[in-house]
Amino acid sequence: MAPKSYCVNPRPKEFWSSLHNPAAMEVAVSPAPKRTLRIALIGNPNTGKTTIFNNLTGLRQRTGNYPGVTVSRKAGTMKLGDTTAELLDLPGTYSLSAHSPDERVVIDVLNGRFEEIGKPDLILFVADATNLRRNLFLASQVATLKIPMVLILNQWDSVARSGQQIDLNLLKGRLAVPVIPTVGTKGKGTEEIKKAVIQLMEEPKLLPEIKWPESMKLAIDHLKATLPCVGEELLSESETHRLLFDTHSAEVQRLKVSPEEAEREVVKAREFIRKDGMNPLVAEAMLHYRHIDGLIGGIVLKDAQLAYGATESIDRLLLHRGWGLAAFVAMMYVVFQAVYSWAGPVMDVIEAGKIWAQNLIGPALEGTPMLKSLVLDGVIEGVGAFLIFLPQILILFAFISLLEDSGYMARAAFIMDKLFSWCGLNGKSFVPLLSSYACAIPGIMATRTIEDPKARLTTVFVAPFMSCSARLPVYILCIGAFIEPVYGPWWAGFTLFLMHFVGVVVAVPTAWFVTRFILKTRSQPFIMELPKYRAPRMRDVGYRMWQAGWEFVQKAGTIIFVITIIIWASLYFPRSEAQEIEIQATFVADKVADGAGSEEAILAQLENEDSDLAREFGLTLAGAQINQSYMGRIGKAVQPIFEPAGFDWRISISVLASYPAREVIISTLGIIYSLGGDVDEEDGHLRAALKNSRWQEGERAGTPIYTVPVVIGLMVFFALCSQCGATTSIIIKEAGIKWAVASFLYMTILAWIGAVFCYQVGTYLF
Amino acid sequence: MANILSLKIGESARVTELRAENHIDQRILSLGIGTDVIIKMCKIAPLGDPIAVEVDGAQIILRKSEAEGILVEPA
Repeated sequence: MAPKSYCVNPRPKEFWSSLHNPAAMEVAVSPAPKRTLRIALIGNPNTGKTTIFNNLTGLRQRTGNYPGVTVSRKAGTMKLGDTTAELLDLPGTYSLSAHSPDERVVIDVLNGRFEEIGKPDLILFVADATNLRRNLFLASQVATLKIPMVLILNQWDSVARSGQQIDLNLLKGRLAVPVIPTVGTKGKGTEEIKKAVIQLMEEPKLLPEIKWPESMKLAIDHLKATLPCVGEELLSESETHRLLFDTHSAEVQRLKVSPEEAEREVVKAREFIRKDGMNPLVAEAMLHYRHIDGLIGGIVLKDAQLAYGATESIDRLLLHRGWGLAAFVAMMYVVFQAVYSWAGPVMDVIEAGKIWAQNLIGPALEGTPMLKSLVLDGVIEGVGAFLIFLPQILILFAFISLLEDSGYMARAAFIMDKLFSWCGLNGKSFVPLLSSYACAIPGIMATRTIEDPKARLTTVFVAPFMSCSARLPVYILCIGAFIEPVYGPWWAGFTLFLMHFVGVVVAVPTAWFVTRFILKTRSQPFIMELPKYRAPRMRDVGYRMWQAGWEFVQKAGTIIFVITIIIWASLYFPRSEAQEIEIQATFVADKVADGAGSEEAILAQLENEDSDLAREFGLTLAGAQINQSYMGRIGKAVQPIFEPAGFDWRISISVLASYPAREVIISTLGIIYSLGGDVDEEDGHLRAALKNSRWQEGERAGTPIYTVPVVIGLMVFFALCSQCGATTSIIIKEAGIKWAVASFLYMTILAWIGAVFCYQVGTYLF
Repeated sequence: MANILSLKIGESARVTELRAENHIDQRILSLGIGTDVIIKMCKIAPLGDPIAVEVDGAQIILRKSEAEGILVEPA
């Protein structure tokens, strides 16, 4: 018989290192191989779990992804006296139920299904002390895993404020595991948690487990006997519960048998429960709550009237029909402005730093033109163009952290949900999509605040359609050159305004389609807690910014680096001296024909690098080299594809060269029209060059290339196309390569259709 | 039988039955809304949907379509 205290037999320290190495127990003479203690941090959302995690690990934390799913993984190292432990922060959840592999992460980790993570040795369960009963539901489910546990009662200072009394001593006696009251935001209780962990290592203790009625045991045994996992191992107790109790359980994918066969056995098993007079689908929650009520009965005294005291007063204003909406719009305006304009000065500094680095390194590489071009135009230019997004990411994540930690994010979702629910998104999609109007990169990173994995994927997929600030130069160039001079400033402004809506018009049906037909989601519930308002802690805001920024630089940086080099190479090669001599010969012959002087005189002028003629030749050479590069050849080869949109080969090349970063079209057009790469969207020469550009041959010879339908089509193309290497690499990171490829192809095809539609319909009408 | 949408703001009632789709019922249950629990109607979003109800000292956001399945009787 187990002792009444639910205490597992005390074991010597070697027990821990031998957990995964049974042989170690027998060879006790030699020291057992040491393995770092693995601790999992688990709890409901809004319990202050992240704050506890930050307190325990400090800056010793890392983020990544769980293999095969889109859930981000956060781990850190925690000091325990003279040793260290690995702390894994699991996603916040209300239950172990899993309808998708994403939701399955928590139970998979607890069962040791991720090979490189391993089964946790110990669980730190963070509960909101003001809501013990609901929080213990998950704890009671976790207890079936029989992993030693420390129960952390966070926000302990709010217990009295919310009109409650908890008899801590009585609770400690009943739960058998260490119970630590903490105030995470004030750092209170951190040392006590560590002490409890050390104690628990000496003497493992388990939370009292639920006692199933006989019918449940029969049902569970039936499933264990009939449903082996892939790889012959057995389902664990907790995994069997998920199969038995959840509708459409994601555990089915782990089984050796077909889903149909599994379903047949599950139905048979549920019959045992049904015969016992219970509804198998609600029996689990009912029994767990009964178990919890038995554990905490008489321990919590509460006066529910006080629970939401100050929060209610704030909500009367912030969720008011009039004031609440106004406050929401005002707050979102500040967030948007911050990301859109406040980042500007810092971005200018990064831009200046980039030019400074180019000027610094340039002279040193004078002797090796190819290396110089690779370093200056490839590496520094590409990495700089990518680092420039860092200020926006940091600012957005500061705001996201403030909004989440204060409790307002849940209110924002509450307010916006109605506008998003019909197309499969939910209220939490709003902030990421709004941020994407400044830049899709921080926007996509912000989708991590969306708990529902399918709504998150859909949001990631539609975020790049929002008209980001990098599209603005294209709009300004096109509108300034072709709309404003003809139709006046009012239409120019209105066109610019409309361009910002092209993406949304496409994104909304896309979201609906993705949800309905790609993810095939059944109606996804939007059920979440409305937490009490709380003052955010600046330290947590800082951690959040640091984490987002570092992750962006580190992970996406490697992908963008590769893309940058590939694009640079395709614009640089093939290049030879013979080719340069030939271009020069043509240039000189043209000049002689124009009557600019004798061949010798022109060649002499070219020798002098500062002469106007030499500069003109430099630009002509750059234009000619881009024409002959692989990218130029591809541009000309694909021009027939863009023919229905009215694009000539120059536009086609510019469009292709803009795939790594859409704003590159301006400098590419500058190079192609031999104006140099330093032109901007307000440049008069570039506007004039575009206006004077005419078809050289064919039936349209002599007519302007840039007609209004072509220009509108070009803008629509840029509005819809996936022309941002950094965004693509972020999608790879957040959602996986499949979604990135799908996004790239879908946006490109849609952009082409949009451009062709504008050109064809426009040309027909005008 | 009445569902919680029939409650006025500030009114409480006892939950008698959950009748939404099964996977939604499970989510609702995991948040502590089960039979015999006292539930209070607290807030309606400015645009009319979703709503917030209070159970056991915690407020929970539900869409009206989900709340319809929660049947109640006077407490």
